[in-house]
Amino acid sequence: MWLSLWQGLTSVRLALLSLLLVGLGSILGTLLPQRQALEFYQERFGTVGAALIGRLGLDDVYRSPIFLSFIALLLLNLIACSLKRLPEVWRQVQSQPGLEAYKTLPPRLQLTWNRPEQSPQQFLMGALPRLLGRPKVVEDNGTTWYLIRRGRWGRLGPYIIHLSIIIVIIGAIIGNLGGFQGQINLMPGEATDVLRLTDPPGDKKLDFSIRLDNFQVSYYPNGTPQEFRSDLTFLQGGQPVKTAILRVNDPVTFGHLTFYQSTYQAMPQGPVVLEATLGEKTFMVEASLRQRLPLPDDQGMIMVWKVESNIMGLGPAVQLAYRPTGGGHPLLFWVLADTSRGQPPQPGPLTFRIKELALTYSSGLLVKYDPGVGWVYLGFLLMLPGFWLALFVPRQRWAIAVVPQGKGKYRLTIAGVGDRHKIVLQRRLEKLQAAFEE
Amino acid sequence: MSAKLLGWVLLLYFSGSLLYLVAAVFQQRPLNLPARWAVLGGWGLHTLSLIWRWVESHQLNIGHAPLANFYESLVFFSWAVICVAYLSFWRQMRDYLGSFVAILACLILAYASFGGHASDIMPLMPALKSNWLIIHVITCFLAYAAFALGFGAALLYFFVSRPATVKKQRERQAQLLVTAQDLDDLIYRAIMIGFFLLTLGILTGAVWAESAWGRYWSWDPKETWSLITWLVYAGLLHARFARGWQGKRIALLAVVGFAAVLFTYFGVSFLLPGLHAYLT
Repeated sequence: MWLSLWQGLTSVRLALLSLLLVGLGSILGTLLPQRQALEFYQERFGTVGAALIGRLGLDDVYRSPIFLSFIALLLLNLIACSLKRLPEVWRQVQSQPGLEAYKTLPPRLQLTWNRPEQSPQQFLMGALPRLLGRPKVVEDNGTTWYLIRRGRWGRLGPYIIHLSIIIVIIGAIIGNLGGFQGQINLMPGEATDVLRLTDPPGDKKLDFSIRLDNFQVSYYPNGTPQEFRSDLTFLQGGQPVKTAILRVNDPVTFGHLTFYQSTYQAMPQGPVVLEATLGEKTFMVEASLRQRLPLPDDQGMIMVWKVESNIMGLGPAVQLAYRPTGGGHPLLFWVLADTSRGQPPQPGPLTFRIKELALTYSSGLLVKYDPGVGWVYLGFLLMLPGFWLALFVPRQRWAIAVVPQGKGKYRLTIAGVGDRHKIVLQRRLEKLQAAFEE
Repeated sequence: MSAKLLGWVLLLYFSGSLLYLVAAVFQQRPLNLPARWAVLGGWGLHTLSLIWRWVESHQLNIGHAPLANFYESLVFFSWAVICVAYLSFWRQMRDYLGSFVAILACLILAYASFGGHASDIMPLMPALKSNWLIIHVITCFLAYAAFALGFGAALLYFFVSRPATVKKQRERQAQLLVTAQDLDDLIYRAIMIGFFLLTLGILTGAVWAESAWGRYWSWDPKETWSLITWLVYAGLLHARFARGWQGKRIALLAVVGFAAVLFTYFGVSFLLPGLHAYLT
């Protein structure tokens, strides 16, 4: 019973099966929209379908117990296979096969040596290190054998890859169990020591505080952002201990936390002053962000929904929501501060112009602690030599037998095997042949 | 200007493919030589146009490697197909296989040029401004190219080994100047190269994502599909090395793997939203 379980665990069939299961789970996670509200699934798949999705955890496949158990199965299979086969492979790598093992190699090429000016021994000792590798020379009943073994470390390749994948998965587990991730939004000049955790939601108090000294965005001529950066100061006990410039693609580490420039949001500095025109009448409106503002003469309501520092290369703009008297859907439209290139159409009876708009930015930082990332990177590093050995170091064994025929003549038999790489073997042989014919 | 050069590249790839095809169908072996010259000449111009575009972007003061949007990725993919094919399989690049590779590069390039994709040099968004961009995109597309080659060899394998009497099969193989055994070997060698490069592509992508988004893996559709592709080819290599699969079954897996590659490249970009959305 234990034996058959062990055999099942170490089988290639299980390896293929677990690869297939992880693959299918991954496909499902990309095709089925993830982490949506229950209503979303009910609308698409009905009550029963939605309940099933919820029960199986398919609304969040990559965290569902089923998918994680597939990965666990793969991990188990990787570990079991390595434990089972590695000792044997290690023994093979270490072993020194004797002459008898070489004598059974299939012959590939036979030549007659007829060059009185040079003995085949001289030629082979000169040419072989370049063509195949340093040979071991063995005399046996008058026959001289030149034995060469190439790429024996290649056999370890697959096991190094497996080990590296195990390390990566362990690193991911460590990161998921012991790490956390959160968000900090700061206005310039503002400081905080509270991190808003994303999963599960909550607040985390830090033993230091972080202050945004300055935030800058630069734009390309076409209006898309070129770079944004936060100038940060880390404070401990009210005393600044470190300053740093945070850019996208250039995270900053403080203590065991890493900070990433993640987003930014333009904000009005003080109220936005708008000039509204209705027919002949003009009046001024002062509005703060997301604040409902009734218009005089019962003309409905407006709200400053959003501000942008540069919209499509047309400069700063305000997005207004206008709701006519008597309700109805609010109408969203943009009002440009710079009207020299015209103004987009505005719905409703009123027309707005921006009189005053001072902008500032809040900077969104992603903060994370991941104790597993070092393991993940270690796995990555280990994977590279593993792949090199497994895929590009062909295993070959060669035996060249030189039999004297008298009168300075010799018969040469070249035998060799290579696993997997038939063409590589063929090329070596062609090179050898060319060298002999020279 | 670089786009004008690509017209000539297209023409050269097409004529190369045609010459290879004539060489194969009419058993005119010497034609393989001019075919090779046409393709390699085209590839030289192709390389030149890539460099040119890079220089042009610097003249616009938004200098970046021409690997930043869908159009540029297609142009590079086409370049990579020729590059991998001739670097790794110089001897096999003749007759039908030569023709397949040249026409594939030609079709990708034609799709890039006439598919209605925005071909202007655009400035890079902040998340893409990283040295990882170059190494990540290059490894991924060289991997795709190697898989495309494995796919071509698999198609040819089905063609060569389609049911017939033994005598007829032998005749066919002699006529095609390629044996099923050679193709089997070529399929898995192309896939080994592709697998290594795809692994590099995924690893560099993960390291980059860690520094740009703070997450080395976020189950973004592109990431996930590249993992799926990786799993298919990992399955193929295990089936071959550990279970001794050969021939038709491996060829079939090579086709399935390339379908996953195509979905990773096109399907994800057009059908599934995600972090890699800037490609479109």
